[in-house]
Amino acid sequence: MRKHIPGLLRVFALLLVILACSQTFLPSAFAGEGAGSSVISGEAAPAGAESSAPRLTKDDYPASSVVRPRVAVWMAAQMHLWFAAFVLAVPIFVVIIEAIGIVKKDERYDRMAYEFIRVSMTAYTLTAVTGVLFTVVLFAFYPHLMKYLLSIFKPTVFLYFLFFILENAALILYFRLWKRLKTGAGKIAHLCIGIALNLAGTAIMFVANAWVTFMMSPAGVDIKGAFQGDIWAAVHNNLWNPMNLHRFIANIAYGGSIVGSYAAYRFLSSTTEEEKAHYDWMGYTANLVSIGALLPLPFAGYWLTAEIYAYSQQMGITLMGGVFAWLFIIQAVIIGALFLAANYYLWCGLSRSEGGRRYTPYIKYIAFMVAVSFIVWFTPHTLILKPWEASALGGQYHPYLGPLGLMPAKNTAVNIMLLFTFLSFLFYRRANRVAVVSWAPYGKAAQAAIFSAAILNIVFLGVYYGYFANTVYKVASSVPQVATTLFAIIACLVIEFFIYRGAKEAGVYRWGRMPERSQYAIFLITVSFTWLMGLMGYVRAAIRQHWHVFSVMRDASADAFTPTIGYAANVVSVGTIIFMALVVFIFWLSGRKGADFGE
Amino acid sequence: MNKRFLKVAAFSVAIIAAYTLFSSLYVPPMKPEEPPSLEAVHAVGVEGLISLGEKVFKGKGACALCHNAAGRAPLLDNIMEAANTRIASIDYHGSAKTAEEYIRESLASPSAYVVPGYGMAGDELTSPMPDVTTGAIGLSAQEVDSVIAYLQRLSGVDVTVTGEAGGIDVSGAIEATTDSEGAR
Ligand code: HEC
Ligand code: HEM
Repeated sequence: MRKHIPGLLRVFALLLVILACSQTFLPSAFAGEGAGSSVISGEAAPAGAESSAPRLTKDDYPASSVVRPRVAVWMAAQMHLWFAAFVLAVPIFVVIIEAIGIVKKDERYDRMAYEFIRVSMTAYTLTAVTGVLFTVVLFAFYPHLMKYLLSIFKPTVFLYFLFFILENAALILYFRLWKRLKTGAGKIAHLCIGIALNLAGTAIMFVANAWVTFMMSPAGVDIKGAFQGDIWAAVHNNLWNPMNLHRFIANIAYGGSIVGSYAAYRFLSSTTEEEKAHYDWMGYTANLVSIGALLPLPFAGYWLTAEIYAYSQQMGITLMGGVFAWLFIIQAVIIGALFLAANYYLWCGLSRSEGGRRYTPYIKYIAFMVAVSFIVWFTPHTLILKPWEASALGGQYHPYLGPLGLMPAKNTAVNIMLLFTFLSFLFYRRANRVAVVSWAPYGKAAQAAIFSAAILNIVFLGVYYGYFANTVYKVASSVPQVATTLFAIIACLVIEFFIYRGAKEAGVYRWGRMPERSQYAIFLITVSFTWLMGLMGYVRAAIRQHWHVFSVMRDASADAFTPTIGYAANVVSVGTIIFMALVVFIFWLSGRKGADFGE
Repeated sequence: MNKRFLKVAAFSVAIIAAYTLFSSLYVPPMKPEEPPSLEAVHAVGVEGLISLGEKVFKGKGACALCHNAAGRAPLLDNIMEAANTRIASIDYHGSAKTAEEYIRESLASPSAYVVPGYGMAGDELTSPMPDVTTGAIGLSAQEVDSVIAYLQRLSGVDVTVTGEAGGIDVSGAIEATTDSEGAR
């Protein structure tokens, strides 16, 4: 039975997608849904104003006694987003791993890549199912909004399905041909199919991002929402590219973390040394990709934020000031936890080799620096205080902590945290190597100099711009700081590469010699990531406030209000648990006998 | 269900629970702004107008979001006096003759005059303030009057606006009175 579930699911999903597709192109088919109340009332759409965004009243929203409409849409959207992130992310990860395998001529990479594309197949089906579910609840509960969006984006819906079919085809080819195209030109061709798969997948996401960002920063429509005819303008709205980049990078990090958790679980269940070694190595590699992608993510996040401010100062302040200031404290806590876990995992990795012991004394200093940066990072700036608290403090800002809450201080902290995480990585890499080049001491001195200079420069920039420059220039510190961090990382990596060329091993290096608790760091990363994505999805929607399409189409439903952070956290937690359960189910399915590479 | 699986599941649920508790216990339970009412507003008399103005200033108008101690926008507690200084300045090229007109102009076409140091990043001639009579904020004529009345009271001068324009439907915030913020 277990063997047939994926196939059955796939057929089911295909039917659903075809159904949804046909419905989308015949929007009238949905008009009947929602107990007749979805027929636009005369007031809502005065004759002759058809192209403007409709102005709705409460009665234009189908009611439901079974579910809370917004919660249903929210859950469906979140499930779909998580699965979509999963199936976009894993193939990116798989292709990267396959390519590394080809370059390094190492079978292990290939085996791991294959193991994962297999998991993807079932996840893909669930993505389609949740996508259909999402579409259905959207049309059922928000028929007018969907009609309006479709009136603008219809051609792109077609593109979406086209890419969907292409992606599907590429995925099936990629999977089925894996063992047939194993060598030489065939292998390269296979890799190209994988790249095509990813291009199609990324294209799908970009199309969907256009819809989402249009709702935040509408373009190509006039002040009343009437479409001006240029669909590219609507697609290419202010937030489209920042969102594309942020989600693309986040997806790689997310995919890596899911693969990491899978490996961690298999590591814990391994019975032989060989198995343990394989899954330890897999967990390490996945984690490396994940953390590597995590490093640039804050910068992509800042770009997104900057564009939100540029589009609408009001939306920007709604995002970063007031109530949501607390949301970013939660975000900071989670990201801090991610970094701490990543560092912890690297430190545990020192035990894989004999040489690692040389570096263990330094761990405490790195841990200290990361912790201090973390504390600065999550010091709130605009505290929401009770009036008597505010007067006791003499204002909204704490006299000593207030300055730490400023953006330049946070930027400084993030950059320092990144640099020290990088240092953990360098130590880990060095753990079992002994340089043979004669100039190694000078190289290391140069690295130390670059590293220290970078830290000093970052602190200087932060202090200078944060406390001595005009308010308007406060954020200006972030660009040179980021540049410093990136420069230091790249320069140190290059030097590192040459110092340790042809290096000797310090002792035996043994994959699998990891304490069990180290694997929990990986679980923590995956769970935190999933939860964080849910939380950020909430804030993305929340900053539109009571608008379906910001400033153009108002949400007149009973659910137009913004839920509190606490409430959102509950919804996200329930969602995370459901999603995790489904992922476990997928792994269970793909873990069935006979599906292994060596069958 | 083996022990290992349960251990990992319990660990994961514990993390989720920790984040959930952090979000609801540590983070103060604050309610985000309620959406502005869809009903048209009416204000009675000067005091009615001023109290409506205060509501608009702190709520629907989103003025307090930017005009506060954080320094993103100038404080408005003495705007009538400031307005007279602005009009007298040689850099002023707007069309206002009185302080009241200056405020009205600031609301409908903020870029007519941009207070030095407060322009968009890299573009000192464009105001980051949106046209509040349209777009996402979309104040009605009476709400604009009420805010002006409120600001006049705040500055300690006589309230000169009457709010005669009153009672206009403000629901969709789509009533465009200017086109300066038009289609992006
Ligand atoms: C998104 C932020 C934002 C919002 C919302 C906002 N303002 Fe402004 N406002 C600014 C900025 C920035 C300036 C200074 C630049 C300029 O002169 O346009 C400004 C300038 C002004 C001025 C001129 C101040 C002076 O000293 O000359 C007035 C009056 C004013 N705003 C009133 C309001 C009122 C009333 C509201 C609410 C209905 C409001 N603003 C909403 C950002 C905002
Ligand atoms: C290390 C730093 C960051 C991490 C790890 C991170 C992580 C994430 C993740 C995982 C998502 C979901 C992406 C997806 O759905 O594919 C996301 C979305 C988002 N992030 Fe970030 N982010 C970071 C920094 C920032 C910053 C600094 C901001 C802005 C203040 C920000 C704003 C957003 C917003 C608004 C979304 C919603 C987009 C959406 O899901 O539709 N992020 N972030």
